[in-house]
Amino acid sequence: MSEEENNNKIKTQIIPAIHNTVSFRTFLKTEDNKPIAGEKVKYIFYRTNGEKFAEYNPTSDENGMTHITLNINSDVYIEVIYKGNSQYEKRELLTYKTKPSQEEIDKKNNHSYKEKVKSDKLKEKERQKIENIQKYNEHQKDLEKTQDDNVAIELKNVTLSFKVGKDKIDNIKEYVIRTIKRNKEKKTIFKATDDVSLKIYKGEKVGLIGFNGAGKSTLLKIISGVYTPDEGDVIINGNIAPLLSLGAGFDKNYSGRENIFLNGAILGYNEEFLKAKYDEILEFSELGEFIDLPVKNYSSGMLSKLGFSIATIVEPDILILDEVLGVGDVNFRKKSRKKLNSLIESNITVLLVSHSIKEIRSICEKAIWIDKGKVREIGEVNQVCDNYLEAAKNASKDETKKIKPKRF
Amino acid sequence: MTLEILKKGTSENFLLKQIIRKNFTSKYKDSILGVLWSFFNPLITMALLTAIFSTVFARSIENFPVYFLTGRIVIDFFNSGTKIAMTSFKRNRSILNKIYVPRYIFALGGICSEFINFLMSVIVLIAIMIVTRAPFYPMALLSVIPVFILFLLIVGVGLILSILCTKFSDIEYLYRIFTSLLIYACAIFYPITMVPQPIRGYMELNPVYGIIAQFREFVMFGRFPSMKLMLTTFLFSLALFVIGIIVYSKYKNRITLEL
Repeated sequence: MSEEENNNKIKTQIIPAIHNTVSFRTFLKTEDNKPIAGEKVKYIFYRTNGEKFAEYNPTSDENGMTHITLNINSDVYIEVIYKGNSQYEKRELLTYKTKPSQEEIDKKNNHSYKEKVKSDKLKEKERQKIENIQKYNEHQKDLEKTQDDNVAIELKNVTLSFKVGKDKIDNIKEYVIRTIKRNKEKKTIFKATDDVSLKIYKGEKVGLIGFNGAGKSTLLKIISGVYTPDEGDVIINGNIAPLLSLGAGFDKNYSGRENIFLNGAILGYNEEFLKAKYDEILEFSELGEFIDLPVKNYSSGMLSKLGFSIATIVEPDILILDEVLGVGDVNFRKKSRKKLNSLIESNITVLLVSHSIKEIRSICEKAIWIDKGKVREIGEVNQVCDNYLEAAKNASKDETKKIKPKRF
Repeated sequence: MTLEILKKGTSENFLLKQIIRKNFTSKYKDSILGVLWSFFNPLITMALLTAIFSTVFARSIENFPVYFLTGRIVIDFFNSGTKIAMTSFKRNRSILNKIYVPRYIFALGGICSEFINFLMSVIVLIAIMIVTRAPFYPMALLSVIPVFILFLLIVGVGLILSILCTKFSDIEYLYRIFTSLLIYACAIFYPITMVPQPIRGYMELNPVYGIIAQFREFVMFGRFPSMKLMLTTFLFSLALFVIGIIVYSKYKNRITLEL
């Protein structure tokens, strides 16, 4: 505090007392430390949102001290004003935080307390986890009881294999020659999805996790109907909004307006719906008058804004997401995340593929771990994620062991 | 599959409309004359070929411009329709690989947009008939019959090619050669009577030629073509149509895996 240069000065002191009753004291003293008596000091109290809620004007006593006691249970700002004379005015803004908890004080002083908290937290976490799993299991049992009409997505023994060859025959010449020579290379069959069975109930938020190339995207494509499995059944109840690609099939020579209808048609909307929702799409996309320009003149951000606005205009029964995406600039990113979150939080079924375990944990209650085309684990999200992370750690250890540099 | 049933028919019609529109606009996107090319294209080739051949075939072909145009617009529709259907899955692979859309719609949409082109060249034909003072017969309205047969044929051949094209990339080039040969084999700019007998018999088996012959009978002469010709072309086209549907339904689920 730099009040030293003035003739009059303020020394303020805030002494917190017990039970939220706080006393504020101010000492008015001259430069040579003599108290100034009989002077008024103004205290103005503000809440943290800026709202003024109290004002006091106590007079200083023979020690130069002013004193107020107040009952406070939230954080406040206090402005202390002393008007010495016409030339001199002293203002000071103070912040008072409600009493720190006993634990916090202890924490500062006591090291062993930290340990205790840590172990407590772990125990709490463990307890929470078990509770979650129990809750989840009960919920699943409930769901299973009400059965069929409650299932949103069901896969029964779904298998899809790709033929993989080093040199794929993709022209007739090759095909004919090889057939004559009887030297068709043996194709290896790669099962991208191998006997997968799972049930996702209505309203469940499900995360799909797995290492790269485990078959997550293939599974999503099977569920959204892009791939048809070789064997097994896919049962879908409700309409799906796959947010896998924004603006699929945009025609670059079309204006934004025309592309809304083209892309909408590809997404399976009908004409009346699009006409009714057109203004809403335009408004959300923030394109304004650009909507009448051909999209070849759009920036990539504008394109994805438009794509996002079209894709999220429906209220689907099942939302399929490959990574929770935010598109466009900072503002639109916020807006699109908000929109997605509101979609996710509504009572629809969500299937999310993400490499961000944090995101999966925060959004989903159920997780499916896909490994080498098979379901490795289905269950409560935290449990599956923990196991997955554990496996990932071990896997990377093995990997790094292999690539340790050799000494020459 | 359940998905096929769940998708509503109304939105499929809308999608078909949108695809036809897109094909149509993208065809003329960079040209100044735009859609007018649909009129100019047959007109210019007609003028050229009339200048070259009308005197050569003056005795056997009465009204060369009309004779040529009737054949030309039919074969144009066949060639462009089958070609656009052939490449439809490949061109739209970015969509097919990401979203479930009934795949045949892309092939059908392409054929329909070429059909609109065909209808526009019919206008050219009518204009030329007026200019050359060719007679109009009420029987000419029955030419919708060969056009319908032609549509069946194009859908069938187009579907077969579209599936083949996802598997073999060189089908496109082979088919391009085939179509240019087909133009010569269909008696577009010469009279079929010119061709000696055993070969001519084989040529008449060609359904595209059959359709052109019927079309000419109805439009140019106002006569009903021979029942035998109509039946063989119809059965041939129907067979190809059915084969096309079968091939498509058998392989439609593998399309996205091959793309």
